[in-house]
Amino acid sequence: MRVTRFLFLSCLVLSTIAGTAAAQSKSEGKYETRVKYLKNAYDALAGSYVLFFNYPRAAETFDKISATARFKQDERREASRQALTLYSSLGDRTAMARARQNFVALGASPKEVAEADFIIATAELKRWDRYSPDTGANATARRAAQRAMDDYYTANKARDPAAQYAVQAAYWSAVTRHVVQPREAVKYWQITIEAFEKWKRLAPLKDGKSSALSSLEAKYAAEGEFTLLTQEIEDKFDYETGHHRFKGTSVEVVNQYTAQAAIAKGWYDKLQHVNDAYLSPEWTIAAMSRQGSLYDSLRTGLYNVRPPALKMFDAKTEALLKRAENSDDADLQAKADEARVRVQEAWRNKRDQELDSADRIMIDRYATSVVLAKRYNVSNPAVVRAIRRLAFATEVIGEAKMKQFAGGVKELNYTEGMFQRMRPGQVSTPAPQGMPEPLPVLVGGAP
Amino acid sequence: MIARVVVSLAVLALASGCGGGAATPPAQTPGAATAGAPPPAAGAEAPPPGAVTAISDTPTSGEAASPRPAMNAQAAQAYSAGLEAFKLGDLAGAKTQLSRATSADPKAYQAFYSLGVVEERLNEVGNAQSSYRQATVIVPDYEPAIFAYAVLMARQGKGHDAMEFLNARRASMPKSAAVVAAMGEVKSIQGDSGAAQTYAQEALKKNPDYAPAMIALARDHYRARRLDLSLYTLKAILDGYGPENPPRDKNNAEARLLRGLILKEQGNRPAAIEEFEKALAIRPDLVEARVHLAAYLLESGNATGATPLLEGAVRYDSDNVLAHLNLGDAYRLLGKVEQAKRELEWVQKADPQLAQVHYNLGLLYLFSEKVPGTTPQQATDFAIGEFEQYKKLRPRQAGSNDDTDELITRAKAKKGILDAAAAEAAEAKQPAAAPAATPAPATPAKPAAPATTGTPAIRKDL
Repeated sequence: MRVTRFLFLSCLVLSTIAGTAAAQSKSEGKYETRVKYLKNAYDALAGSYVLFFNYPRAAETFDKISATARFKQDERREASRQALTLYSSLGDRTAMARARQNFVALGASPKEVAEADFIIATAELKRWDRYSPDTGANATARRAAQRAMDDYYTANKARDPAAQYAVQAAYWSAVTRHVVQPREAVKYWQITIEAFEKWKRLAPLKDGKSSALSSLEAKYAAEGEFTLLTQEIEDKFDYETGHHRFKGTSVEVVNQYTAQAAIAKGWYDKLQHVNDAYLSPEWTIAAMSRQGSLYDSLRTGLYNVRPPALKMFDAKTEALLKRAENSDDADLQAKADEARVRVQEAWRNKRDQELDSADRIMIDRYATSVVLAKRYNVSNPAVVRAIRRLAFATEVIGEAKMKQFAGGVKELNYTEGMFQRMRPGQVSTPAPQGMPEPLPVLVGGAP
Repeated sequence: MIARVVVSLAVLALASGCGGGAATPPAQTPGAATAGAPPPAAGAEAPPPGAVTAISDTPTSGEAASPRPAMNAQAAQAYSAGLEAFKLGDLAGAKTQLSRATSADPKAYQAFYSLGVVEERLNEVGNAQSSYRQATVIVPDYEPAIFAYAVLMARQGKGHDAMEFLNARRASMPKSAAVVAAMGEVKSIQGDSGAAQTYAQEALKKNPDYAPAMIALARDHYRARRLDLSLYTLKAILDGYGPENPPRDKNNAEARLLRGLILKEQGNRPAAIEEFEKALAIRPDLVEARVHLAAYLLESGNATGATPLLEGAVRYDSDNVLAHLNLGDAYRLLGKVEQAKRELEWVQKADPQLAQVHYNLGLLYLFSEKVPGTTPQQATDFAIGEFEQYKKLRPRQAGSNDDTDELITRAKAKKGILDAAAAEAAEAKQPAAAPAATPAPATPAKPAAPATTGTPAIRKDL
């Protein structure tokens, strides 16, 4: 009953002091002491409401403190911040606006105002459930959240004190679009990255590095950059989306492949930027897996090239060879045959060499992402794909090569058939309840 | 208080005397606690030190309990054995022992309540309700049974009946925080958040330290999707707000579970993992925490870590389909083919419409070296069948990362190889044919040009 008594006493003290304090003259010298008691009583009352988990009343009390001109300005400002946070959680828009006005009037710093405005903006975001279908009230909530985040970003993008929150606003502007129409989110992902670059410059240094690195904002920007890159790679490079269907003579195929390998290197470097620029474990791991996928696409294209798309000779040479083969000259026939064998073998050697080279990178990147996912307890669809592709690659390239290529990956400890065995199944979790069954009772009373 | 946790059951059971009219615990001798208990369930793990496996039943009104019948010695011994079995997750053993306690002493109200707890976990809802009810017939103001009975009814969609029951109890127990908190919980389950908050606040006015009322508030905010307020409440319970407002119940496992679920929803994976781990260190019986934590581990490729969590989950909730599903996959990943098959076949029987089980069975049949009871050809056929079934139940969606078609192709290819090998073997049994001509030597290959793949330097960072 300690808390109940405390609450009662706080109220009693408040009514007594509030009733008399105003009547006191400053000249009596007791004014300051009485105001101090009054403030203590209000603090105790607010604390009691928090203790009783009565947040609406706690918010009202903080609001009251902030509006009481007798109290010190910094104390009132802090109370208005508390009120604002609580009203935001309670979703009381009118009270939020009032608390914000008080907060500004009481001399909040530009950074504090930026934070307060973001707290107000996120009240809309809290109504949206990202993981539920975009229908009915949830769709309305998503649109409202999008507007709030867009408005915040537009109003604050040029303001340095708001740089940190601008990253978050831009991120949610992107996410609220991405869940329904990924292509419409492109501009907002770019904005997120730009906003992060600005925040990285402005954020305080920690151990000589920007404290923005590895932060929540860094994670958001890394997700943005990865999402943009992966969409672009899907459109322009992935084997699954129709690329790397090489055709022509063996020489032409090798040339096409070489050109694509140069492009792969370009994508690889761009993905490496995700790894280096943000220090976000989740997106570094995803980017690594995606680096592996580039060489997966490349090698799949080369591996799958077959006649008739593949021709060993150009039309003129082919005609010459055919003529020699159809001639009655045994020597010419042997020469033609020898030429075919030689070119065929050269092609195979070249192809195998290129496949080995691509496989080495593909396996290293995929396997490293798998190892790091386990180390950092991270899951990402890109890692699941990496394991699947490694399992597939084991069958295609054989155990000997897999052992050779995967053997160099730190902490992997590759064993035969590892990737087939570790191919992930479908994991499910129940809808959250948060209400466990009771426990039995101890006979013998309370401790 | 119901929620005031008992830190070391065995020690306290031995040390505690008669408290507030509660039954006197049986005399204990070393090893007596488990004397009547069946051997632990296969693979059972002892709870971690400091884990909570039972609650106290001191009245929440702060007053002495009404006179209550003491449990007789024979019942007490069985009761103790029942709690030991429960502690190990051996629910069948716990049920046997607790039933024995109720037979040995028909007035053993605690045994009826605890039996109800075990029956509820065994999904014997009717039995659980009867047992809870019987406890309240013997001791009408027995709060743990009143709370559990009402909440179970509400979970069964009988919130109205639960409120009627609680209103009657409230009239005779006006100072009970537990009864009012139960009303809050029932109202929250019914979706009446306003009433739920009012009742829970009222319970806290009766007993400001009554943790189930605090949890009811947090859970109601969560159910009503006021996640921030829920987190606020949980922070007050677990961490406090500075020296003036210390944590209200920092070892509350339910609060940890709830916070873990919210953090999971918010995508804060590391923090959610930490909360689930802490919740389980306090209460190893929290199946929901086990399943969510194990799923995280499985997703990141840690089947070794996930397996014991899931084994514990199915011990405490043997009908939990998703725990069995995930455990089956964990066993498959660890190469425990027989156990994986057993778990997945159980799931298939329990819920044939669950698409995921067919996918996981397909993987088991396709990639396991030897599936007991099947030939390699049969295993491949089964794999194809399971993947096809998966496709039927979960049609491919645009943009999904579905590899079922690829798996079917591979299974068919494997089948082709196996069939060819079988045909070859059969042919080999025929009388030997004429020896094949010696193959011509291969033309020596020309040295190849260097690879043109624009190999980037592989970075070994991180």
